[in-house]
Amino acid sequence: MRFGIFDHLDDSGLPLDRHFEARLELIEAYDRAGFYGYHLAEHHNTPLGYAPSPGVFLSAVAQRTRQLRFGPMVYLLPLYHPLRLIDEICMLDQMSGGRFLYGVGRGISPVEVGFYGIDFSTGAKQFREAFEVIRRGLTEDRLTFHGEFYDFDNVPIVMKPFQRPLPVWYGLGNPASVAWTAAIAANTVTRRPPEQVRAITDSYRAEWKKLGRAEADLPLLGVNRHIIIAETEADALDTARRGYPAWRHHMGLLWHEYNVPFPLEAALPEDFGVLQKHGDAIAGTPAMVRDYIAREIEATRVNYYVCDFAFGTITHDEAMRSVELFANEVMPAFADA
Amino acid sequence: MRFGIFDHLDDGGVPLGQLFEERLKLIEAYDRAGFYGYHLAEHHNTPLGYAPSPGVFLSAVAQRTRQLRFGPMVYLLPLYHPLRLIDEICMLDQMSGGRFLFGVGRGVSPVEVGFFGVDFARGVQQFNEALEVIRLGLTCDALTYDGEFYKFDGVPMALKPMQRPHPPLWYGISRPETVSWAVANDVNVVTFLRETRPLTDAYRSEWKALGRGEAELPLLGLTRHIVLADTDQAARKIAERAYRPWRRHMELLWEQRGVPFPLQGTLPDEFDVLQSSGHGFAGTPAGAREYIAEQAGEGGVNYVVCDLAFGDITFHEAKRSIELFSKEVMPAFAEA
Repeated sequence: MRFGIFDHLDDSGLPLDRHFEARLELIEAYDRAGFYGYHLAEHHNTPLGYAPSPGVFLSAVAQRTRQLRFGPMVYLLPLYHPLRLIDEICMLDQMSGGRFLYGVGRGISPVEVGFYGIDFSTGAKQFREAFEVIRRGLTEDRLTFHGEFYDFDNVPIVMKPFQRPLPVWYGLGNPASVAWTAAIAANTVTRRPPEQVRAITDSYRAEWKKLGRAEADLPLLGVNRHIIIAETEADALDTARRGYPAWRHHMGLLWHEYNVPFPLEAALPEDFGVLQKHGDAIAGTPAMVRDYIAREIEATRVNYYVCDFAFGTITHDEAMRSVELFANEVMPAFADA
Repeated sequence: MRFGIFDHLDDGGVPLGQLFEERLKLIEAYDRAGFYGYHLAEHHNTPLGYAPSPGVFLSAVAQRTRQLRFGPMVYLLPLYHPLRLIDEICMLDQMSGGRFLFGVGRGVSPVEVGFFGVDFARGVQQFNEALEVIRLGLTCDALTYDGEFYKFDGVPMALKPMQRPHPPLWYGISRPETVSWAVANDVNVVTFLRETRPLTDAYRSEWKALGRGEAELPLLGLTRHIVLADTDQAARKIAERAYRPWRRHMELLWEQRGVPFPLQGTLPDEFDVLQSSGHGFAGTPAGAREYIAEQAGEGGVNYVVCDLAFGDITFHEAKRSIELFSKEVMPAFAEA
């Protein structure tokens, strides 16, 4: 079983410079602990995400780590000029000795993409075109593309990524997207109730088989959960209950400010205890977290487990404690899983 | 006298990953040596510049250094969405403890900006608007702007830079016509021109005319290729070899697209010609001390920007230049 990290890099109450530095120290701990990948969200003009240009933060991650892979979860393709993104991807992958995980998406928030003048209703179409432009730019020596959103004629491509091909990652929530995701052999991360995650992994495996590809080559199919670990359940729950509300508040902030119905309003309760009851998070002892993860792996058939240890006003020390306990007392239990 | 570094991060004839890592090691040396600032060019789709997104490379620079300031020379403003640039500037400045130098420009190459769909003829207007938007965005809580190129209505600014009101502005200057704008906006300037004195004289007199003190004068710099070695002969040999691919790459994209290269007459094909016109130096530390004193004196600058790594200069050759420069040249100007 491989373990990864998901991070909004959302407001923690710390001054921004200390927030960034504390996070980089935590990421060094992820690297030492042997996590597979660090996946960083892209959000704009909101305290929900202080890495609106994930590439800038990820370049620092590359410098502070040796083996940890990393990438955006996800680059919001329509919010970039494709030529710039092609180049950033090459730089990051080359500067890290080939550790870049190329996460792609179209953006979940009409408010955020609206700030960039993007029409949310055509976002999916623009995303597909951008994905194809970038695919060509990462693999060819001259880029030509004539589409509805993008037009390029024989643009010289002077950099290539280190990894050929580059691993693609996608945030998969909608079963309708499985066919496309499997066709491009994208690795995925999902955050839904366990039954829905299972529906997605079953569907992905079925598509994979239909495409005549080997089970052994199946990409990483992951689930993402908030995880807090402490020596006692009471301590873990205290941390979670105190830390969670700021993250929850920031998840809905821009939607509320701009009067757009927040799609996760019902799915994300105000109280951490309720979230945990829904199976969407766990705050407990290492033993409890081991059990939780084991049960979820069995229920969802994921082969990649993505943890969110640092969110809201959880302190740096509390997050480090979670990571240490996870590395020492949870990960080893899944070493041969 | 302050010393800086200019870098195209151009093709060095080695694999890209190796180029990046070796450059970062040289930058660690710049940091240890006490250089003031590291200025990184932005070029697109050409071996002249492998940091088309300078922000990505500069984030690594921030991690590998402690006191060295750094920034793009320059961000090509029309090639970015202003909101993204505002955010990147904040991130870089905060992640470095306030060491970001905000270099701005509109791009010299119609070919490069053309790849991004930008109309070179309107580049100046677009640049002016973009700079206004970005300065506003760096200093307010909600961005509203109604221009020809950019329109925003109360966009929330979630990030702030560390340096307030915003990181210092830098510009690559080549024409006396832009001096007034630079002075009015407290812009530090760097020029590659051989004739620097007309620019610095104009800057100083405009600065004075605005009633500002000499002590607050921004940095006015000149950029020169410099190669140091233990003998003149060794340095010259390195410089001559290394310069050729850099010179070729300066012109490459213009040539490929059939656009006349503006520096055709003024940028020589060979380093020895560059050096004999005083536009570059390859030699011993003693010669470099003389050269810099001369250039700085004639030029009226308070900032000498060195291009120590260009073309196919090897890591060890560049490292030796830096060692000699920091041990035997910089100290001579410590009180200057």
